[in-house]
Order: sequence, then C-alpha cells, then structure tokens
Amino acid sequence: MDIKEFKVLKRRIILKIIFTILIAIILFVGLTYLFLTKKINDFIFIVLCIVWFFLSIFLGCSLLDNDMTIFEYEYKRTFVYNSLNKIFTNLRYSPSSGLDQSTIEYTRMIDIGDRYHSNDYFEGEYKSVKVKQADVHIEEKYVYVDEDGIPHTEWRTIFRGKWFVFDYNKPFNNRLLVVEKKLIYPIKINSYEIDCYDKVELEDTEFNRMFNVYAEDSHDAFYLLTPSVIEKIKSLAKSINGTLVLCFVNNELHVGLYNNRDSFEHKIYQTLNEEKMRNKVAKDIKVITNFIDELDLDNNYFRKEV
Amino acid sequence: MRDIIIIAVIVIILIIIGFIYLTNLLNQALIKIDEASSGIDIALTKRYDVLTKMMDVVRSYAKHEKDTLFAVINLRNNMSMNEKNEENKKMDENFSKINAIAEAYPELKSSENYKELQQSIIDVEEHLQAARRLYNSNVSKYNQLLVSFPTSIIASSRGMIKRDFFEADPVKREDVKINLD
Repeated sequence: MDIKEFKVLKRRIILKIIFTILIAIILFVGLTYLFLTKKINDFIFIVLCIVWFFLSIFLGCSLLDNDMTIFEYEYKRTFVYNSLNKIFTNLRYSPSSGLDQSTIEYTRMIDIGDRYHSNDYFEGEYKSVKVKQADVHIEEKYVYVDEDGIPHTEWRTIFRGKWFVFDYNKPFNNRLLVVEKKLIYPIKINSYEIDCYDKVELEDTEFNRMFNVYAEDSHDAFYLLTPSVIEKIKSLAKSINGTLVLCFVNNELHVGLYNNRDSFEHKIYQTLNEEKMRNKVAKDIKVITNFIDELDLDNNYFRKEV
Repeated sequence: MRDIIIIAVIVIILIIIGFIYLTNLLNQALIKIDEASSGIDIALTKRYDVLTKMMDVVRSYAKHEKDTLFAVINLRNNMSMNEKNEENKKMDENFSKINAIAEAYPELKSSENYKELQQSIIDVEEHLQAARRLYNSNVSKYNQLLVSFPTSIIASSRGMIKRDFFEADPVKREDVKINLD
C-alpha cells in the first residue's frame, strides 16, 4: 500500500467516524424529542438511551474495526517490515506475537507482576548477531482500601517499553545485572533476587553514579564490564530516552528499555507523511542497531566457531 | 551515680559493638582481597599454561632463532603481589617475543594450532585484566579503611598494613584486542 492509499483509507475512516457520530446525534435528538413531547415515559426513555449508547458503540466498531485493522496491518507491512528487512537478515516479524514471559522471567531482572502483555515481536540478524525484540508491558495488581473501607483495585505499570535479547559471544557463567539509577519510571527491580548478589563498584565513578551493578560473581562483573564497555554503556544511556536495565545471562545480553511507549506504531490521528513515518521507524530500529554497534557485539574475538 | 553507671555501661557496649563491627569490616575487606588474589593466581596460571604451549609451538617453527630463549617463569604458592607482578612481567616479555617471532614466520602465524592458542590467550588476558581490576578495587577499599577514622585505630592496633596493587602494563590497561589476521 502506498501513501496515497493510506490517505484514502484514513479519509474513509474519518468519514465513518463522522457518519457514526451523526447517526448517534440524530438518534439522540429523536429520542429527546419523543421524551419532551411526552410520547414516551421516563422509564422507556432511559431504556432507549441505554440501547442508543450500545447501538452507537456497536455501529462505530462494526464500521471502523475492519478499516482500522487494515490500516495497522498495512502500516506494519509497508513501513515496519520493509524497513526491518533492509537492516536485518533472517527476519521474522510478527506484530501480534510477543516475547514469551518466561524469557523475561529467566533473567530474574525485574518483578514479573500480575499481568503481562507483549507484541511487535521480531527476530533477525544484524552483522551476524542474533537479535530478538518486542514491546513489553508488565503491570501489577494493587489493592487498597479507602477511608470508607471500600476496597479498590488498580493496575500499576512496572515496565513498559522494549525488551531486546542479543547474542553475546563472550563466555561467562553467572548472571550480571546493570541497572540504571535514573528511575524516572516506576520500574521494579527484582529486589529479592538482588539481595543474593554482590553489589559491585567499578573504577569509573561516573558509571557508579549512573548505574547499580549486581553480580552473582564479582569477577564476571569486571570481566564483562571492561573499561571500553563501561564507556559505551554510559554513552548509550545518555543518548537513549528512558531507563536501561541490562542483564548478562546464558551467553545473552538482555536489555530492558523502559520508555513508556510502544514502538512501530502509527495512530490514525497522526499526520500521514511518508518521510516522517519512515524516519520514525528508522529511529526505532536505530535504537536496536546502536546496541550492537556501540557495544561491539559483532566482534568475533570470543566466537568459538571462528 | 546510678544514671552515670548506666550511661557508662551503654557507652562501653556501643564501643564494643562498634569495635566488633569495624573489625569485621576490615576482616571482610581482607577476605575479599584474598579471594580476588586467588583469582589472579588462577588467571596467571592459565596465562602461563597457554604461553608455554605457544612457546613450544614457536620453538618447533623457529628452532634456530636466538629469540626462542624465553625468560624462566616460576609460579609457586604463597607468592607476594610484587613477586606475582615480576612473573607477570616476564610473561609479558615472553609474549612480546612470541609475537615478534610469529611476525617473522608467516607459516607459524597461519597455523591452526597457533591461531587457537591466540584465541585462548585473548580470553586468558581478559580474565587476568578482570582479576586485576577486582583485586585492585578491593585493595583500594581496604587501603582507604586503613587511613580512615575510626577503622585506622583498629587497623593500627592489629598491625594491619597497606596491600600492594597488582600493576598492569600501560598497554594492557586497554581492552584486549589482538589481531587475528
């Protein structure tokens, strides 16, 4: 689908929204007229208002659902998939699938909460480094009782952003967590787990100010976080908008980027400008490739098969 | 009078608790240094093993080279940090010689055996760097405790002295990057 077809589709969706609103207004005006001219009593009016409300929603959904799905699908196919395909080899992109919850649980990095949702999954290779990524939203159930003794339930976000998994070819045996201290979002680190780890202070005072490092074995912290890796993580953290959590586990590097947003999305009310849309996707992809480029993940010093 | 005694007892108890806490702090710092020191021993032994294998390979290719006379390395238990530094420097010298000879013998450099050993030495060097940094970090914390009040009082009463750092060649302070071409 080209940008002209996107514009036609958007216009159609807007027209359907206007049509739905007009129908809803006309129906409501009619109902009010019947009520004011005493042709229907209070009870009937209330019942009809409820029917009107659900009917309007049903009408809106049935008119818009198909077009919205097409819009989202075509956006992801035309802009996201094609852009990813230019950068990554062996690409598999599935907008409706996500990272398995067990993948994140396995890192034991953050509390996994009570509600888990993940989408926009893709995997591929960039510079021969295997990458997996998905949008992840983790919430926990928070129950509290107000002053009147009435219980309330709230869903609180504890992680919302991207989750990346990179192959890490430097061999190591133990878990290592690097958690940015700038907790501008309410990310919940797995505190029970961290209590069992050594808190490691590295030689770089700026890095120590920016990050907490927790290791199952302190040696691994110094082995993996070499002076140049430290510099690169600092520079990545400064350039990225959000909070970073890194976990080195099982010859993989997991990166949680909490930025409170979905990647690879374009809302219907946003402007349709091909260049801007491509740039937006490219920006999201750049975040992923930056990790590989900056952290030199494609180096083959430790790759066994080389 | 009774109040004064109670206060004095409380103060004495607090001093004892403080003394135990600070002594434990110093002891823990020492234990961490010893643990990190054993990490250096392991890394040095691994480095020695790989270098010995490399030297054997080099000798088999360059039997008539004068440079195949490598420094004798003597790793043994309970070495001081200065001694470890010395032995490590000898290994550096040997490694430089190996590289110099490899440059002169392209067939050596391209042999599979030599390439594998180069891969191993990269990993060993990285582990040695990590062990050195961990050890020095622990020594730094311990040495700071020795000069900070009130741990300095306990340290001097127990005859605790500053520990030596494990030095590294300026070149090796950089990340290990060996050309495998």
